[in-house]
Amino acid sequence: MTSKAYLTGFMMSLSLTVTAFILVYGATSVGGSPLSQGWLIAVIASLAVCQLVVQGMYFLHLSSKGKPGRSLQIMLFVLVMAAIVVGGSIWVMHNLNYRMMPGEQKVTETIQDKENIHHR
Amino acid sequence: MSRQKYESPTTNAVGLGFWVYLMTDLMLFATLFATYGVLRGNIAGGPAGHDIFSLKLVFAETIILLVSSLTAGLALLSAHAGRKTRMLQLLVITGVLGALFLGLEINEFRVLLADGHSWQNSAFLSSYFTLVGTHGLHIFAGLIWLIATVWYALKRPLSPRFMQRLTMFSLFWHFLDLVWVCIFSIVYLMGVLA
Repeated sequence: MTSKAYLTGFMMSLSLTVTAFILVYGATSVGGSPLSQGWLIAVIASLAVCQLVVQGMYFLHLSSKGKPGRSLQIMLFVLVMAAIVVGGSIWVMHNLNYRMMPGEQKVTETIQDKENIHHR
Repeated sequence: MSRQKYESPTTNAVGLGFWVYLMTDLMLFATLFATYGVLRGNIAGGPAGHDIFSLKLVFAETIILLVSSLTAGLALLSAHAGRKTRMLQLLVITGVLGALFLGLEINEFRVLLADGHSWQNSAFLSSYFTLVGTHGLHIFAGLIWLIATVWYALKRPLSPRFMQRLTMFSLFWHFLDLVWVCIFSIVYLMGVLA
């Protein structure tokens, strides 16, 4: 590891963060965005994943080569567990909401839209 | 700076144990993210994310934490190169930036509470405060660890034992920046979009 590697990782992380911020700030505060909301969320998620990989490589020194490979293996296993916990929870609870309260959230949203309620 | 043999954190039992601790911490944050993901729509007639988040402030926090992550890594390199004064300078900068981050976050919470958006008002706010607050607590613990590390380095020469402690601290600090990247993207950026 050299300071050059740290600086490379830092510059890449910085540009990824700034890009994500500009995209969202432009879409919400400055004006519209050429991307639809769904695409924007997909882009933000991809930028975040890129940054996690960059920081993992340059800051945490994760690599598949040599002995450090062990830390990467452990982390990949934990990431799979985390994905099951997060994905599974959201999936199950979304289904629960869908089955238990048909349309209720929609009704609430419609009422709020009609009465133009803004909580600020 | 000279290229030195990089000691992987998992080459000995202590390093491996610390890495496993970090992974359990990752699971802790995963459960908190899951909770937030499930509850973020349950605003109970109160404010949603886009009503209360200040994107500029959070962006500043993100940059501050990223720079402190860099200085923590450079401090470790300086220590490996035997440049103790430079290492101490970089560690102090890391600490100051970390404290600045924590100050901004506490202020953000204070403003939310002053506006009446307490964690008691909705499941969304409860999960938000728990997730972001847990990260803040980790930063606080990291700052105490950092002060202890600087204190130790001031009184003793750089030893292999100290190098291992510093390596673990820098791993912890980088890890917290990784978690913050997820919080910044999922809670704040996507919260403002929704």
